[in-house]
Amino acid sequence: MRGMRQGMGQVGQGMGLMQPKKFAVPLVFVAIATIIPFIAPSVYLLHVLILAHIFVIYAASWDILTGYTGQLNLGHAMFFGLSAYVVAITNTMLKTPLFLSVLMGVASAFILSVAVGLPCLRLRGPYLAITTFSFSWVLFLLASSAMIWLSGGEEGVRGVKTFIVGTIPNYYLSLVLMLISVYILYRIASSETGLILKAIKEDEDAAMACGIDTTRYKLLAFLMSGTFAGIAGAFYAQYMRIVTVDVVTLELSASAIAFSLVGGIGTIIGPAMGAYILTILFEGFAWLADYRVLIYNLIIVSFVLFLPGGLMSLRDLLRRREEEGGGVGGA
Amino acid sequence: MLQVKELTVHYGKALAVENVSLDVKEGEFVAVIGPNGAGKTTLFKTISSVIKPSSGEIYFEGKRIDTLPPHEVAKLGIAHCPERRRLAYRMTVMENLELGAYLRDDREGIAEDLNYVFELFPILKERKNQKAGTLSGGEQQMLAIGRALMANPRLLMMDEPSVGLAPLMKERIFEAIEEIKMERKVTILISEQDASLVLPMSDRAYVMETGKIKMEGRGKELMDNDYVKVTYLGL
Repeated sequence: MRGMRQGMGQVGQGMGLMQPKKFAVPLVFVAIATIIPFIAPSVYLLHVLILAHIFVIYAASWDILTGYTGQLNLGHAMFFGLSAYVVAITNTMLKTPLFLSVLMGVASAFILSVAVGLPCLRLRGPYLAITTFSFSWVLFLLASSAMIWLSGGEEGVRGVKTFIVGTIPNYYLSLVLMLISVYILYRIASSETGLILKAIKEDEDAAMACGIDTTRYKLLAFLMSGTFAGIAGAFYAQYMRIVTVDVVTLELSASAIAFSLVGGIGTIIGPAMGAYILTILFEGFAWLADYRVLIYNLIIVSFVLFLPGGLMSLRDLLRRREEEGGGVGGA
Repeated sequence: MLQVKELTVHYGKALAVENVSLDVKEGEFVAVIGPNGAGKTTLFKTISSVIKPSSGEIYFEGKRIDTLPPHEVAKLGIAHCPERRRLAYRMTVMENLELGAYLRDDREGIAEDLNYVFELFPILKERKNQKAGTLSGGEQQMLAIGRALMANPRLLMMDEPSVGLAPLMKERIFEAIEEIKMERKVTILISEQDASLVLPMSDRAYVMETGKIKMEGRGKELMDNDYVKVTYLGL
């Protein structure tokens, strides 16, 4: 396995020349994101951007399982929500130190991803979608009614401690956390592991015939996906300092799909972009919030119909134009 | 090398393969011919363990394999080039070939085999950065064979490599298969509807109909057999 890329590399791909261009856009983004608190020190704007950072991690984590591996997850909010609740409940009721609560929150998302992932390994297509949806629905029912004594229902769990007080410090903390998470997910996705995940999405039987232990890789995708969503949920809990049923709603699960479709499924960067743009849009125009589910659905339908590859496919289109302009493109 | 013993396979209640026994010796080129629905694909899928048999046993070099998961079977050196190609269509030609070499660590060997595949099918080299889905049917078949070769298998199973291809492309594919047979030290088990293409190059062949082995013999013998002549060669 280790020899695969190297052996293939000897024939030469000649793609190395693209490097400087590849880093230009992320660098510009990081530069602008770093100076935003200085040029626009609006607490409200920064708050919106912090939420955007959190949902970027959330969307990118959905993409590694569904976009890359092709395992349709309709209940991604369960990982985000469980982690957020565990942080809030342990921190406020058991009085565990925040640092430990966050660890427990992320660990709970990890454990949930094993618990959901294992039975899901044998399921394909619609069966998997229904199962993931049901798991998240159960969690929603527990939080909104059956275990309201623990979750506080709509009132939520209040008084969660925070790592650092203040919007600007939280802005930078969330920015760093987002950059690290997206970078890790992106690197995994572009590695040999990512290639294997894509092969499973394309044709699982064919991947098995190539000698790939698809069960192992699907479980790995579940674990990565659930854990990073858990990280996003844990950060959310300590930043908002209150956790309500919002974190396990169907709406939040649907948002992962809408974010990813807008950006471009199966690209990590696309869903991250989609989450960033849509979060700002929704928070910026607060009156839109009432129509959120409607708008999500409109977005999903229109992108599936008119731009199934999302914004990232526009980039590929531009690149192809460029190549053709340079006379490289074939017949 | 490969022994299939009294294999029976069901899809639910439907019987697809009934009491089939077959063996392939090291270095042989063995064909399974028969019409659509004869159970050829089911037989191949069961050998590579994607489907589990209801009864019977399969041995590869003395080791029982029908109880192993598919990726373990691949590890033993069996490459399955499936019917209708089953490529990763949204991945590039190069990435598909990389997947074929998934189990290997030997850099030099991989590079050598990649060169071999590109010599065998120069068009794949030209299109190496193209998505597999944009290739023509014949080119996709070449890629499927190339992917199987990248595993450097001991036993290469090809399931109906000519299906759905134009006559000229069929011939081109079978020329390549003949080359593989001559140049590579690989045992080949191939299924095919077009008996006239495959029988002349087969050491032995099985005729499979409605899930059963109807007859077996040397390739040349079967070509002279009256039943085969009438039913499969249209003579």
